Amino acid sequence: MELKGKVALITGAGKGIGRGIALCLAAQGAKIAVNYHASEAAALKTEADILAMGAEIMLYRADVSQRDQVAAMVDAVLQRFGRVDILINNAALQKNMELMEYTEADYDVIMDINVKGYWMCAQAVFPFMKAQSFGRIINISSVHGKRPTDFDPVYAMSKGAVKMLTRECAVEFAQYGITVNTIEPAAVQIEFKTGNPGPIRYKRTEKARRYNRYLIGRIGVPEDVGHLAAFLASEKSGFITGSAIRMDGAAMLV
Amino acid sequence: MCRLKGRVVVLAGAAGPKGQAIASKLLQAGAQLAWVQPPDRPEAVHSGEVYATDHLLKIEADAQGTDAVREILQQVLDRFGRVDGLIFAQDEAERCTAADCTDAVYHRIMGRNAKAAFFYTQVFGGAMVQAGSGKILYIGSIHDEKPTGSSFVYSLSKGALKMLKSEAALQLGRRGVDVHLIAAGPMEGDEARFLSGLSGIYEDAPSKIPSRALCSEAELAELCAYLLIGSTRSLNGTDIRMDGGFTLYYMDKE
Repeated sequence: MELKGKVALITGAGKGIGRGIALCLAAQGAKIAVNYHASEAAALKTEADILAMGAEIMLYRADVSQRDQVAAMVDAVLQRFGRVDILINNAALQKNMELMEYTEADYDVIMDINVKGYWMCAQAVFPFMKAQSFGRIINISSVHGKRPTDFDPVYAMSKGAVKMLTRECAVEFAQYGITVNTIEPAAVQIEFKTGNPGPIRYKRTEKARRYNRYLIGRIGVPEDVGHLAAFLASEKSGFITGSAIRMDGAAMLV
Repeated sequence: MCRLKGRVVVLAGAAGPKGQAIASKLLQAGAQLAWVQPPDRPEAVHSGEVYATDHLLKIEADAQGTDAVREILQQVLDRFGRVDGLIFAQDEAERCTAADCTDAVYHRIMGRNAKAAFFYTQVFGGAMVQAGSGKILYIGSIHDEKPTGSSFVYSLSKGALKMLKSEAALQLGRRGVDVHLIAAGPMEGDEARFLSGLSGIYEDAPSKIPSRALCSEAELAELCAYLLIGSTRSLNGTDIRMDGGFTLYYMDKE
């Protein structure tokens, strides 16, 4: 129970990777605030599962790209739990559109959720973490913060920005006992797909392409990310800040 | 030697000495140049007898979307009939931290440095694809990897630009357009822009460069010309760090 007494706010945690992180942190004793936006049914299921574990949880619906909603969300967490120790920035959008397909509106929604949302949530919790001289901010990014997607340039741009968000915040917040790190997952088996999968226009081969590079024999599952997030959220990770941990079963190496 | 004779290059941004050096080099090499500057950055556009040439088209615009950039493209085509190269050099910076940055500063810097880069790439890259060839060159920054500790949003924008380069190198590179990024290191004026109480790298910056000399605008211009002139297919997708060894620094030595 490495996180007993700690309060964790996880954005986009109704389903997918966020849900996996919420379950892992709850298993380590944290009190959980689950942010969701559109997936109320999934969020309610996550809530039920965490309550069944005997952990405390609250749900909060907010659009992380809206400053007033982020502020209200953090305020609600403080009202319920009295503190916030851990922020997991996870809510992100991926449209799988190519360079020539993007409109200004598409560009803005991706960047506002994936980058501005991460920044605003960090900015909102920072004063409270600073006051308690403890904080853990974990930005869920992607291998595509360094490796191009070849199918969604704006998503990759957003993750490139998150790479630097982590590094700048790590430098700035370190003196207050707040660490900031990035997890870079590759393919993770989740119950839905974001965005428009679209045709793969540059298919090089007819054989199943997607998972043949995962030398470890499988793609990731949400709990893989959750276990790492739980460690990075713990007091034992206090010397790790500004780092990025790629979580891909060696797929990016081949 | 007029090695760019007959070539049309669009230079987006690049104020002050940097812009003057690049523009002069390209014009001396025989290029026809369309130089685009936001309205609040007029000094380089309107300065100097160097630019009294019918090979130069000056455009004032702060374009950050498809339609606005297409208007610029049309002006270039109306004047010169073609476009062969794009140098995207917009480089807004403002001292701010993650904790105190405002939405206005965030959007101005991300808009000019990253969003504009995306739509310039989309529109001008598309035009070059139709023509069957072209070159795109981003003037980036070492702060696409090294945090500033002083200009938080600037780093985010450069991290995003770096991923745009990689994505464009794939999607446009297949269609005859080479894409490169120059990660420029400290030049005159950068110490004032980026001096940080957290990161000491800009304290006496020349002392951290093996040659003890800041990076020169003239060398940057030479590199731009080289990448525009020659066959650079093998350099597609490349990041060229141009910092004199600055980012290798970590301890003082005589």
